[in-house]
Amino acid sequence: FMRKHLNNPYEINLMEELTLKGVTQYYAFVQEKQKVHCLNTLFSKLQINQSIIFCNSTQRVELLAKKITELGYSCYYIHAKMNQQHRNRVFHDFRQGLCRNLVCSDLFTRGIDIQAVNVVINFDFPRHAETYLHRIGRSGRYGHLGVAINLITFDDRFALHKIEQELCTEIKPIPKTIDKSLYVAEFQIPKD
Amino acid sequence: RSTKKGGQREDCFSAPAESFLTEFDFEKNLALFDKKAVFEEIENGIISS
Repeated sequence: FMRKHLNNPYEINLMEELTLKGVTQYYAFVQEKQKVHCLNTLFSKLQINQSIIFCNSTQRVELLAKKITELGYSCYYIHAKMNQQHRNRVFHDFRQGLCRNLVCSDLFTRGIDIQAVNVVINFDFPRHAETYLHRIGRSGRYGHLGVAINLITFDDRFALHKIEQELCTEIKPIPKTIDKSLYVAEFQIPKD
Repeated sequence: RSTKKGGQREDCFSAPAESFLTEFDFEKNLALFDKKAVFEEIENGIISS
């Protein structure tokens, strides 16, 4: 049908399933009030090339972006209540590498395809497996590695259980030190 | 505005800066959550969401 009726169509995201392959997933158990402290420690310990930090609401995106800036880290933020033009601008600049960290709500409908992003942090754990996959999953075009770190509160236990089950994956407790070969390009051993 | 009302959900944003001078203790906090036991409880339907 497609070949017959469309002239040189662009195929976007139809063939490539999102995958969690290559992404090492960890959780840190926290209380809500410890989240910023925990994030600050992650920033200081991880070798971040570029990171994306997800919150569950637009208000929390703004509050967190402000907090991260106060802590002395550069960050951009985007959320669903900003107009499309502004969002595109910010996302474009982030992709260009003008800023190291991006705080956002769920507005990527096809996973993240920025190769420079090696760390994704769920500041707020999502409630649905589909959302989790869109945040953490890659569309398979890039075989590169990365880590995902989930800040889990006691209230998130049901969602954590559900998401692991539905995606047939395991989110492990964060180790004392994270092996750099899991997410830092220079430390990766070429496969060929 | 950072101390905006809204109770518990927002209270991570008003944490004092002094608390960030020390490293967050991942291990100590992980020990407070027995994932396996909690998952067993969920699976056995003892508690439900």
